[in-house]
Amino acid sequence: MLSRRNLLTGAALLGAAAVSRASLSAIPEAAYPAGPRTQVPPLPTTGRPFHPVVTLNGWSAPWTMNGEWKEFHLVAEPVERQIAPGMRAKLWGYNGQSPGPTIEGVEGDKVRIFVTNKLAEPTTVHWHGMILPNGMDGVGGLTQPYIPVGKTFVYEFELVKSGTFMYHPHADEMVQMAMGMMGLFIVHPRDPAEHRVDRDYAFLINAYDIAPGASTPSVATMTDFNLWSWNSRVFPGIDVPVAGQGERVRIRMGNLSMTSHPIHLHGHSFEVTCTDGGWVRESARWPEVTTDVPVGAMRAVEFVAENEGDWAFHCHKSHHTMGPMGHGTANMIGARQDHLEERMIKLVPDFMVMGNHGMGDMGEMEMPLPDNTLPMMTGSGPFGALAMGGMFTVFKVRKGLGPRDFTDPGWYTQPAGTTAREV
Amino acid sequence: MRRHAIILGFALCLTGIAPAHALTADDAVRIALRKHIAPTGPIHDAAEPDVAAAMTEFVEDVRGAWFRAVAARQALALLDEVRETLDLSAEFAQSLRDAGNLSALDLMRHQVLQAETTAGLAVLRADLQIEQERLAHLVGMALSDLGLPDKLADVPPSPAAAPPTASLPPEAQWSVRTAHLKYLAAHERARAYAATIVPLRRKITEETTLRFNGMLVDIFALLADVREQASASLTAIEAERDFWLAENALRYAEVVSHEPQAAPVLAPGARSGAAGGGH
Repeated sequence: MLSRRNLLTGAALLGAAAVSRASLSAIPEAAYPAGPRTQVPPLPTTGRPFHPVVTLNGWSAPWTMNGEWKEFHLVAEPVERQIAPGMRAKLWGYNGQSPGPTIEGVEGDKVRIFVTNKLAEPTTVHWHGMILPNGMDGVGGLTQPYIPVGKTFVYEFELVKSGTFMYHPHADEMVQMAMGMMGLFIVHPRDPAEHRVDRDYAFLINAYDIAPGASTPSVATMTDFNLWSWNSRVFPGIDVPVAGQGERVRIRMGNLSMTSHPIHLHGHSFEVTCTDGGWVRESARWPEVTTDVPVGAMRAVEFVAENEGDWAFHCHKSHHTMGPMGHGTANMIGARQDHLEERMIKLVPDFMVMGNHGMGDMGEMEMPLPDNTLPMMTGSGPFGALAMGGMFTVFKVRKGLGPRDFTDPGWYTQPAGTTAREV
Repeated sequence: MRRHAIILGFALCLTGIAPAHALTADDAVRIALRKHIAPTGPIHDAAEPDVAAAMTEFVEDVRGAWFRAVAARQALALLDEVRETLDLSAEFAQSLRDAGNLSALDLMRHQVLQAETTAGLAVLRADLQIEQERLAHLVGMALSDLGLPDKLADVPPSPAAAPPTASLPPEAQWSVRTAHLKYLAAHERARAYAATIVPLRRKITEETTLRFNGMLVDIFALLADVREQASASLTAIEAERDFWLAENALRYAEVVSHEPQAAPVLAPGARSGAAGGGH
């Protein structure tokens, strides 16, 4: 085992040219997902048992057992991602999607992760939060040579502690992360009963700046992003997490955007039980309804889904629950415009007065927009327009949901007399 | 000298004063010649070299005035559009100011832009007015009776081939060559505006309207693009006018440099009918 490990590590350090044909042929085939919707992973049939996470609008990478090694294969490459119906983005990712597949292992597993670089520039993979040998940390130039274009490197390490982690490039990272390269890495406790929950959701927080009418993100943007996304999806493209009433739920979130995100859940209070540093002692937890996920950090929150209903689940920065919007535009609220409308129509036949009463109108009107551009506010619920976008979805709690049932149960029927009403 | 007689003879053999159709360049020449030359003496005076040369120049001048007048008529409507975008910007700004959404400083920025541009437009407007009145003066009609066409003829997709000059004396070769080069440049510019720049400006306004719909840009950005589009159309008209003026100048250069029989200015069915006639 040691000799093989040394051989492979040495090969990696020397570049893929040094990897023999035999070892290349042993690389497991890279797996590809079926699309941008959530793919609930099957229960593991090889390796140590665990309860897989459900990655919102994502999937978990299959693995191959090779002796005591659990082998994965990531392919870094340009991908096309549907951000929400009506918009496709040209991103970089892994195995056909951005984010890449969630890698799941169990405390004590030895993982061997092959990374093939099909990008046009060198890359590396950093295993964020993992305790591993320095040479496996994935920082280009510091802990390893870059993975050249067209080459395959291998990372090998033991999963020494359970928790919530992620992976991303540490090579030209501003570009590569702005383009969508990232993925979750979940390490389950060796004892499946430890930290056991009924439903375990996970997603990464990211952001893109894609000019209206374009499809490739700007890689030089630092603050003015216009797509605030979870797993490279925005409302109404983010799948709804569901739970049976009374089930214990965990939601793991990692932030690889450039700003913090106060993530807020309605109808429940939760506790942060895990960060990318490890599990939080019970005595150190406190109840919250919003937890700020800082840049480059992860938070797992847990709660019992006690209350039936359709509960908004979103970032509390209100501009993060909107689609693309103009910056520095005139505020038309309360400004008289009607008297100028006819003259405007003479100049611009399609002109329509906008923003007179606030921006809520946007959620109800369907105005023609530039190609491949999402509306600033959209979506509808049982009571009308939702007028949302970005980092917003609905957490649905229902009675009698089957344990592996993740289908959207539709809108909640509120008991008679419990809806806010006109008086 | 005989060529001048041809010019005059052709011009005067045309009949009728008030055309039923819009006034063409040839109409204008015919009417102007009747007004200014016929009453001054018998036709055979045109055979005198000085008179003939002056007449040829007069024909070129009237045709030029016609192109300028038609272009001016088109341009005036666009000036109104440019001005309207500025008026609207200032009025929207006032609405925003009234609602407390705009500072006095920003309102003044809109107002000063409107005032400065409007002031500049006043001079331009007078120039365009003068262009039309000059033609009216040349043909001896009231401006309102001119009956000019709505627009100049489209610039042909391909420029005319270089005129043969080998048989001409060096001076004449040079003037025809120069006129042809100017004609080619004017053609290229006018075609660029008609085929590329104006359509692009129109498309840009359409795209900006879509961004306005999405609240990605505001009313001022939309009006700015409408203004840019109107300005481009204005420049396109100027370029079109300059093309026809260059065409006119080229013809003039050809006529004055050729042997009498070779190229009468107003031969029926010649270039004047197909190009620049304005019908």
